[in-house]
Amino acid sequence: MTALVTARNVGVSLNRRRVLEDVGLEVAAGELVAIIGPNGAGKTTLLRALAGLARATGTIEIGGTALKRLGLAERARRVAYLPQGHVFHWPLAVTDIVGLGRLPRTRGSGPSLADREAVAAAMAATGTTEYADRPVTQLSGGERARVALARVLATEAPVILADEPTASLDPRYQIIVLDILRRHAEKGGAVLAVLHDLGLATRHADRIVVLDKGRVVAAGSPAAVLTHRLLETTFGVRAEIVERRGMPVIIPWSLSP
Amino acid sequence: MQAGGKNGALLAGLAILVAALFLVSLGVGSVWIDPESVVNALVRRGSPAAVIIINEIRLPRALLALMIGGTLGLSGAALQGLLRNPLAAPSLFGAPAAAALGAVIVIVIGAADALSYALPFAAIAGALLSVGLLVLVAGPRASLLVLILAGLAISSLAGAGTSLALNLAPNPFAALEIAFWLLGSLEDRSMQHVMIALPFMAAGAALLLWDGRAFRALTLGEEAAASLGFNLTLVRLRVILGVAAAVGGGVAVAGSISFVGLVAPHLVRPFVRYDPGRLLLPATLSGAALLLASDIAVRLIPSNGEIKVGVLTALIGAPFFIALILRRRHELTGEAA
Repeated sequence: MTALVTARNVGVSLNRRRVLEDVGLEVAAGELVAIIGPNGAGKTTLLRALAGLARATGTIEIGGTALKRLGLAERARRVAYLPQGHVFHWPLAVTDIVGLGRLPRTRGSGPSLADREAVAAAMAATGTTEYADRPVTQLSGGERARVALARVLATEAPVILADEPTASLDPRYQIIVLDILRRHAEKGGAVLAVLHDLGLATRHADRIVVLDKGRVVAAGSPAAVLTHRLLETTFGVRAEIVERRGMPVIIPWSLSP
Repeated sequence: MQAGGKNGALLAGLAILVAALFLVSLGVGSVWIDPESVVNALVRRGSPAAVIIINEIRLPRALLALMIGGTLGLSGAALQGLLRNPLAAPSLFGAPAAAALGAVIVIVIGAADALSYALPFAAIAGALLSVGLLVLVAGPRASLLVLILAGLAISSLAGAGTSLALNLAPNPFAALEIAFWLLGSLEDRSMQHVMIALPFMAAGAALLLWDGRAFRALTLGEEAAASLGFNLTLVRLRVILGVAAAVGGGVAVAGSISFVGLVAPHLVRPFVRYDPGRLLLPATLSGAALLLASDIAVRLIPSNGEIKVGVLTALIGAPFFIALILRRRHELTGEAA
């Protein structure tokens, strides 16, 4: 397995406050890795650092090349970043929004055949083809989430960093979104997603990285990581953990005393 | 995806409109000259009187309307693209007021007369200060409310400074002259004015046309745009410098002409499917058409003494702005809550 994302000893300070400290992780081609952790643990900052959007110390490599060595356009071709919230500021048509994902691959001139095909494929993969011509601002939350994801897929970057891609989606769309990310991994990509829902993380991630107070406190398979002890110490909750189909099913039950 | 051909048709249509208005602008005035004689006079044929009227009096005026209107439209489109907000425009953020303050200071302290290069530099410095301050205040997640309040504060400050300068003017005639100049007019301008403004406006326009792709990416917000490979610090810098040069250059020769930058992008936005990158050129042409038309209108509206074109654009633009606010009232109150 080749590591597409490698982070070693990564630290980030925001406003002179240390937000990440000594973080290390690897995501190999074919893997979907979930980052979980309490609010304020530094999950978003970690994704931003890996995308080159936050100034970080330590080593970050994308496909074996140091992130700092990559030019902005090359970085954008290798790493696609999906921020929280799925914001669209102008009522562009859905195809035009998805086409924005091609910006790192085009130079001024109009869309090439490859651009058109990538956009069409991304829209087909996310089931957004049917509202290709609708203004994105008129879509529902679930539809927007898939359009945002289609934009990220259209870049055809091997690495996808997704910040809470399932937030505020109903269960059906949560599964749809994670299935799309899974397919990207199966095609040889690497996906690192911040998830808040422990159940979704367990069910869909190959591995889970747990962040707390800016540090990695656990990493490994969902069953190995999500223990009673970890849930109490990092999240401060007591949970019911039952096993179904060889996987832990976690229901946060009460605050730990 | 992009419909390049459609944009081509739009641009061609707007260019024809601008060319037609340009010709009309040359023909209209106290002496009416028909289009054929206008064209003849431009190539120095026909009656000597017409040649002088067209080339010495009306050509600079029409050229300035074209340049100032165009760069104002472009400035508005670029600012709206950068701030991802259809209510962003140079005039709402006090850029012309600040540019005027810069110019007025230079005039009052007697450092320059109205035909020197010191004026545009002072005006550009003023505009730079206001636009820079605005983008700084706006921050990465500019809420509409913050932007408008900041703009209000900057405008008020610049206005107060200008009032102070008028207050302390060496003599009442100087004060009156400044006051009239502040109203914004293209009357009685010469080719010298055109040459003073041209380099600044050309530089400003070049900077503003640079970032169409970045504006398009900014549709997704700053984080996503940065992740798509755009250096937003440079984009911001180019827009600030570009708007300051364009607005400052215009204010230096024509006083303060407002609202063209707000209105012009709106008129063409639906035709480019709201794409903030493809908007730049059409907004430039629509700004030019708007100011040419306004400058023709002030010559046609019967009044004792010509109405200043800056007054007319404000009279049309302000209600337009109110209408825009009413349409977006929902969003505005939502942000305030």
